[in-house]
Amino acid sequence: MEVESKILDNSDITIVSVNGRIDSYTNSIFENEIITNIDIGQIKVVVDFTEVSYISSQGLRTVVTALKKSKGQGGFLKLAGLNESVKKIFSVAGLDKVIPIFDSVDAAIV
Amino acid sequence: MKTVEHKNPLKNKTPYILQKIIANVENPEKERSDALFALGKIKSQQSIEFLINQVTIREETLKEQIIWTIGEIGGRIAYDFLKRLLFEPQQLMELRLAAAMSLYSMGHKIEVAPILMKIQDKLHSSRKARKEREKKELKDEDIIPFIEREEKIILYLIGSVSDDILDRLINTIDFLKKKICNKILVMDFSEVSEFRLQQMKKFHIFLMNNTELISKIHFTIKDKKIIESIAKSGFFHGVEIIDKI
Repeated sequence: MEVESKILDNSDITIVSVNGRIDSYTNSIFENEIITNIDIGQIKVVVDFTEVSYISSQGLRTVVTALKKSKGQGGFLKLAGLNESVKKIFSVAGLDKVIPIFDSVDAAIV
Repeated sequence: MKTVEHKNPLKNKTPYILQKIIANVENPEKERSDALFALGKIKSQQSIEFLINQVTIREETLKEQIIWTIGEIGGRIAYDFLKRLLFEPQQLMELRLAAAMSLYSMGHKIEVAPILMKIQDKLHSSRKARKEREKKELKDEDIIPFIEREEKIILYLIGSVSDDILDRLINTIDFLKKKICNKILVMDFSEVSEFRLQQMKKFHIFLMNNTELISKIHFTIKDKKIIESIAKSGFFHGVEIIDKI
């Protein structure tokens, strides 16, 4: 799995792009990237899930931790581009009601 | 919520080709993961046995996604496998959680509800809320077993309703108060052999102190004697009595 962060031009929003699956093998990479961003003050985060094929319960936990951290510091965390399978996982965990989910990164940053 | 159509270069591949991609651990993990997604999407029943075999391979790193994919495909064999996995204590917790989520997604919500509730609770609760709850944390033996469904919460009572059981029932309702919202709280007395006047009175008083709950409570009672006793007591006015859940 690959994770890449970039700060959007003329903005304080960080886009975290994930490529691959997030499970117990790969979660630490995802967690390290997203939590580090927030810890260094990049508290407005959009996670681009377009290339994510699966997320496990560990990955969900990381998303929730990041959500709480960013909101706790006055920021936000939004998810974008989830495929139907990943969307279903968030729904099963009841997280689709607490985390803003958008069809695309463009829709999330408006 | 609108569904986004994702570009998956593997979407037109046959199940056999997808299986070959998944089985070859030399392939990039992203490609293998995409192949799993594609198999789930086309609901390839013929791939179920293959996927189940993959879960048993020790060096397989995609097991959690494979388990999810088995649920995406669905069917009897998938269900039996996932259920067996869910209740295998020697399995890794991550795999059992994947099985629970997969079964839930297949529609077998009741069977996995208690496990998923624990997961959801962990995911939802903030540190502060958790600390507060821990202060007055109830142990399993302090409450009545219950199952949460979309529209109702069902509490199961068995045997004679003693003072101890009644205390646990009241603890449970107190614990569930915030969860109830628009749900119906069904108390299943089907397996109850005795519900004495003294305990009825105690529970009636509890309800009188929590009148907002009365319209949300249903009793399920089969035993005619208990139904008659309640009718004679004059307690529980406004509580609906039904004969089955």
